[in-house]
Amino acid sequence: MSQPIAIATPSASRRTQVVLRVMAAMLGGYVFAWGTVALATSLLFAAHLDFHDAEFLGAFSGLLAYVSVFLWSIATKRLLRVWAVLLGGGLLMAAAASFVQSLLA
Amino acid sequence: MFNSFRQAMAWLHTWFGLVLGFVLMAAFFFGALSVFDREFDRWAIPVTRIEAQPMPSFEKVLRPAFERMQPTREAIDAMRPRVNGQMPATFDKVVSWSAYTTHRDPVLALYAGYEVPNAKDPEEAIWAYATIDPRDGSVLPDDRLKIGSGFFFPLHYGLTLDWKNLGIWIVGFSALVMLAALISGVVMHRKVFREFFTFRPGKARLRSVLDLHNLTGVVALPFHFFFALTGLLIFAGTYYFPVGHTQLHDLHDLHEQTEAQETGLPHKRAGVPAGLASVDAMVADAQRRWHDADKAGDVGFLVLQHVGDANGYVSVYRAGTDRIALVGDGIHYKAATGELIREDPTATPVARMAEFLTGLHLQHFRHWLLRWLYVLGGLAGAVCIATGFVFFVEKRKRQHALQGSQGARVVDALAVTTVTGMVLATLGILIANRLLPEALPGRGDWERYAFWGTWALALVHAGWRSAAVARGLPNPAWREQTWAIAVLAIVAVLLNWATTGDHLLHTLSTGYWPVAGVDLSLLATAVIATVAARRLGQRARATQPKRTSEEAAHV
Repeated sequence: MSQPIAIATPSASRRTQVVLRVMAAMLGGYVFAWGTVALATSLLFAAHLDFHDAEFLGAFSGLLAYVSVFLWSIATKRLLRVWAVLLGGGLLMAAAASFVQSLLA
Repeated sequence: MFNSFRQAMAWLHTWFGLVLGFVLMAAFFFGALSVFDREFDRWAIPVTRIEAQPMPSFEKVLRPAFERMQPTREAIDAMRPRVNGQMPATFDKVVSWSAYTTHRDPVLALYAGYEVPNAKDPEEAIWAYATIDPRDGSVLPDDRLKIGSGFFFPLHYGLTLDWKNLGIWIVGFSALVMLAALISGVVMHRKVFREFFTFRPGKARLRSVLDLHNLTGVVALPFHFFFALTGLLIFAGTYYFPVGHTQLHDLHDLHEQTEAQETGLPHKRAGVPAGLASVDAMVADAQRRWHDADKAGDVGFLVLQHVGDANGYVSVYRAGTDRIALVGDGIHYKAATGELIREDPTATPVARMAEFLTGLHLQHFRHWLLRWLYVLGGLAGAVCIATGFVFFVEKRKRQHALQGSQGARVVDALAVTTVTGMVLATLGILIANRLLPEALPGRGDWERYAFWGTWALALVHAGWRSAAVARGLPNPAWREQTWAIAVLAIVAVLLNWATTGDHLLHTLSTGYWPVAGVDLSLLATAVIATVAARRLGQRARATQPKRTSEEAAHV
């Protein structure tokens, strides 16, 4: 990574870095959180929890996941990996949730 | 992008805190005011200044009031495009009648939903609303702006930006970032401590500002964390992550089918007319059952479903005044006979946790000390963010002055607007509420305009007076707006006296705390503002000679 250069020139590249990172934290984080909520809700419902209980615990875990990946997106060095994990992970979890639903309903 | 985790956290804390701090400031401040939303309502609508009342008798008060209700002309016109053919002159098939009150409400809110013949969506009902005096059932004006529950409260969670729920999303994202800022603040705390307390010049003022920032942030840390989290949880299922209505809709349907079977509460009308047994007897029975289960017996919510039909049932819900958890403990009766259909089962452990967390945020309990602690917690949050702004500006303004940058100046002007300007806007709506003619059409809208207009004036004033910041000096707008707060707070109290006759001696001697409390808080605001303005004035005079000598040195 070209850390020293990025800091020495607070230029367009640094600005792009910041914008991409903030977008990863906000939008990528949301996709990841949605996936967490959906998967946790569907799995807990499959485990015979009441739907609204499952929904509540799903939202709870999703919010905690959102905060965690938000901090990680800002802090970690490799931006590309952030995007890959957040979008890939979020979509995979959402797909898994739909799969669980198709088994139950 | 950053060399260390701590550096990254400091960046996040500074910049997200700055940008979203303006939103959080409003969420904290109006959240603190919303703790006493019903009391602001009484202050703003003098005709409702009566003692809080329990749910009245259905047979004597509610039934005649419900039977008088009909949808307004506006509601009928709004419904027209969603109906095939003509709208009827009156609506007589009642989907539901319901009444809602809390232990702080002297007035009772009534809701009536009616079936609409030939509606394109047969499930869609048309609604009528009324506010009544529960002592005699007389109808109170429903078009007055409830400044507490109808304006400060929506500001708290959605900035009153209703378009596509944009405000709710902005506040929600800010709450998320607040959680991140709290964590990042804890991570950076020791480093900040070492850096700024030991090395920076002009540390005296920075130290006091940072002290206050850390104090209000750390002392109330559990409060801030839980309120951001529970606030997000309350809206998560409906707005932020509505998986049950979208992606997992099928699972939700599955759950509703099994639930309807379990509860035995009919979803639809039977089409067979039926009478109505004594609802007061059902309520008395519900209260006896709560009492036997060692729970307080105030009715919070009373619902009659499918009125006049054999499938009709009556649900009696408890007002959770005796615990933090937001509970319903509903008991359901067959409307025609009054026989018990079902008692809501004991909540599951997860549901109890959800009830506790939402109740913790929404505070339906009856406990005045705890209520005031909520206000203090909210105000501590506001102070934490305000000092964060001041710290941001103080740390940079001399450097910016040397570089000729306007950054600190702009942030400072926005900070003035958000801190003192927000208090001014609040006083502006209260004063407009007392000054506008009673019969003014769209009175509530004018009150809102007064709020936003005052706030806009505060912004213009803060910007106009901000030039000093670009020279490394304090913005005199801080002091001037603080004086304005002191004056307007007293004006609001005097106007309340002049327009209603309810001066403090009267409200205090009769023990009418909703209005006395608002007036006393306004006076306390005036005292604090006066002290603060005088301090700011002393400091301005102290820096005055220094400035001239500095300027002389530059020349």
